[in-house]
Amino acid sequence: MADELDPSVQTDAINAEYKYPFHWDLDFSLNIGEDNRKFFEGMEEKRILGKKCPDCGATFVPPQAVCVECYVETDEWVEVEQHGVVESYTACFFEFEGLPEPPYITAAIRVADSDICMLHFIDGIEYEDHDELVEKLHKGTEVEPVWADEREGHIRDIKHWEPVEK
Amino acid sequence: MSRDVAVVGVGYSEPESFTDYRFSTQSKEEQAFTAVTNALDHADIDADDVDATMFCTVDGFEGTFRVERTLEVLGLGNDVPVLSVNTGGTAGGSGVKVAHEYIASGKYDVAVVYGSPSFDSVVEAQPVMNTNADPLFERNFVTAIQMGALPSSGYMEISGATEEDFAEVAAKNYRAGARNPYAHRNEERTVEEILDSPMVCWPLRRAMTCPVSSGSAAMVVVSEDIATDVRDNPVWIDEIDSTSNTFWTGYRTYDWFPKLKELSDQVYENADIDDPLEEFDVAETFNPYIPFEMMEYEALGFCEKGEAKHLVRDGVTDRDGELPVNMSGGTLCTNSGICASLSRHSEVVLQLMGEAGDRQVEGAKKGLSHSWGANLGQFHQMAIFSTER
Repeated sequence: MADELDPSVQTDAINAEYKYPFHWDLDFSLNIGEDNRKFFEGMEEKRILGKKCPDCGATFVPPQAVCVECYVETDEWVEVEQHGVVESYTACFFEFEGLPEPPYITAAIRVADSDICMLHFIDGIEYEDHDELVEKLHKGTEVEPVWADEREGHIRDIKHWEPVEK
Repeated sequence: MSRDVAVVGVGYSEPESFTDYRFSTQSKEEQAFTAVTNALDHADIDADDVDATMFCTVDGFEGTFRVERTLEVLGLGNDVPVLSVNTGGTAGGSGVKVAHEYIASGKYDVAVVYGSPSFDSVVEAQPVMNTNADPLFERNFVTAIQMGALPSSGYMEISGATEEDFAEVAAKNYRAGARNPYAHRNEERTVEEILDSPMVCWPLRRAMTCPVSSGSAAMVVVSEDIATDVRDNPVWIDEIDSTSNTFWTGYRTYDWFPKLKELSDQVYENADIDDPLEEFDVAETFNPYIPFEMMEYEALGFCEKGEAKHLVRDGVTDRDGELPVNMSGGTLCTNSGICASLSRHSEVVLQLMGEAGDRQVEGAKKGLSHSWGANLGQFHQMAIFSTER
């Protein structure tokens, strides 16, 4: 669309005499709580943990401290199978700050029998363009995690997920 | 005590302010003064008679947590409450709801709801939008575009809707935007041009996603006595409600908007709406990513789940169709900043007043507005407006 500015053009580059630039550079450190700490500890050991609701029996991977349906604290930890199913996916072809070099795939993955999904990357799929990608990946595609060699208790201790070889 | 509540004034900042945020030159206060003054003039109400103001935006884009200062420096916060409403893309609709409830209760008589041009301070909007998502897990994999793309991709699989259908809906919005002086994008685009635009994030092409825009909107909401006093065509708020979803997107189906279906069922029951396609004359829905408009047709009951493609292919929601939708150009073409969430409501109001200019749908008497916001549809907001009460 020739009449629209390219996303790379900076705000300050246009009508600069009307602009008053300033910078806001802040550091934060979140308290993650006990459940997240335990989950990430599992990740370091290549284990995927979830929690179960004592009332309805739902399993949450990643763990949720409270079941939103029952409004009770989840209490039972389970280690789940390292197997996921793609619920939805998208491939990004543009670069955004803080995200990988495109193209890359983000998917909503249902891990084991979890009642909720985990967002993560899918890799290990060869594709030239989006048409090819659409043919290769679907709702229901089975995936498994690929672990990072060096893990530090982070969701990216799983480098990405990739389709299960059949 | 519960009173009828009406909208009697709508105002926008100058047409030139509805532009790419990078071209914007006006300060927040200048845009607000123009929009609020236009709304008050339209309502024939003096600024001194305003009892309460609702400032609608999303924090983070303006480099301050005192965003509502925009209204305060105009004196609109002197001696009256200024409430800051921040429910993402539904903030404007939430502001109208707060105004409605205040006035229906008898607490206040005149409220100004203001939809801010939130995005036109930040140099790069995406990193701010990215803070929308859960920091430990979800933020690592998405920015705003993926939050639009994941349900769009899932919806294609469950519905059989195609890229061509999405382009057709987008083209309808561009045609409508070309008639709207307050649209950022105001040139028509063909289906072919839309399908030729770059793929940003499957299945969303650039021409199917909203730009980052400037421009603001204001609305004057009043009690029944004042409404009939100041104008002979007030627009009544028949019903207005909102709902919330989980913050975590892991609970979503990623292929449809079930929470919106629950909300619309409730709103229609309260308002005695049996057949929305038949009973509404005009509708505005939140379509920053164009496939959303089709999911919304279904969740808002214009057709069954998965069937929106037939409404699109048959032109049912086009200008000359049974229910024209997004005759403003929608969020896709107007202003995706928080102004957009008030514009959905203000555009329906202008239609029912018969004052929508070239975008007017003749004889519109009942209309529906909807907005969607925050972390992947965390909030939905709906209002039903009518020329009669």
